[in-house]
Amino acid sequence: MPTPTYLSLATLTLTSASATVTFSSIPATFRDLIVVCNFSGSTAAQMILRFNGDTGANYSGVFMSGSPSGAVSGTLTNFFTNIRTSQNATILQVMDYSATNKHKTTLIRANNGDFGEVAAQATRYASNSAITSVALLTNAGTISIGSTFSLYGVN
Amino acid sequence: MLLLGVVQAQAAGDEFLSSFDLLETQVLPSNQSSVEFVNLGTKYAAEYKHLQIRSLARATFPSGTVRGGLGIRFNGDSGANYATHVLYGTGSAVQSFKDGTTTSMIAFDLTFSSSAGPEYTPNVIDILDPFVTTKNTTIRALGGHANVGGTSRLGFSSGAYFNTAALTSITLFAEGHSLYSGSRFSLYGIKAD
Repeated sequence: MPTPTYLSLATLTLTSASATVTFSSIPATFRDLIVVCNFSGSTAAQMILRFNGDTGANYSGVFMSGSPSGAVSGTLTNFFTNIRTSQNATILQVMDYSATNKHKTTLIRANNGDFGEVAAQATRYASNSAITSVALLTNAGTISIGSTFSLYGVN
Repeated sequence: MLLLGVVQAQAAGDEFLSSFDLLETQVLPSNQSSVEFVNLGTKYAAEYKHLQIRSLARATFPSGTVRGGLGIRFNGDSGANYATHVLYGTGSAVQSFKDGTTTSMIAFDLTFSSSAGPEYTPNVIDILDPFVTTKNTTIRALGGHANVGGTSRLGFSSGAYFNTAALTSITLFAEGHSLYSGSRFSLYGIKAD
């Protein structure tokens, strides 16, 4: 029996600048989470992804990006995308987020048409704990007023 | 800091109008060579225009040459009727390759390991117009893993099945190897208007 899915869980449009956005108390009702972000920052910086408030060295990432400078690939342990003062469009897909026998992997697409950057990333949060919170934070400046973040659950 | 609590009532799963439906999920209870979604036309052609597979998979360590990626076949066809193109990053370089006229497509990438573990590779695979009989069926996928066994890989895959027959089945496999217990494959349908 098909199950309607891709349920909107929470959404926010910033009415004041903030360094962090956190989705908390995420129920273990779904299989995947999708976070759709359309944001800008007060300064060029990096956006950091944190699960369950964990600030430990438990994150790995690989990225591939194209910009006016060319195509590059690298590894990351901290941020997942750049934040620019112009509009950034990013979609994060957290797979099997409530599983307790798997590390948490996230596929990310990020674009900034004004700056001219298109990127993808795969990250791994080395924890078998179910994810109950997702935090997006900038490591410099603030996330600008009008930025939107939407959380969806997919069965 | 701004906190957004997720209201439990919103996550209650109450019925609502949706164009994106979960059709089937398979979570492997033991290692097995492949996963199949079958009778697709009978079950889904009348209501869905596109399909999506969301997977989180891990495969046994290869004893021979590793082709890489999650293998995909349609309608049980193992003939040389497919092509795949991949753009991928290794963590130090961007590379690409083409498999033209091959016996399967691949979604890049797949975790290979000699033992079970908690690191699985995600893939999101879009299958466009699978039930239209005037077009070859095409796929696009994004997948990758970070720092598993010291390797990191991320790739965009594009695949084509050179046959206009409507899709009746999808087979997913790790070529020549087994998919580990716990690997998960979910099939979704996307409705037309």
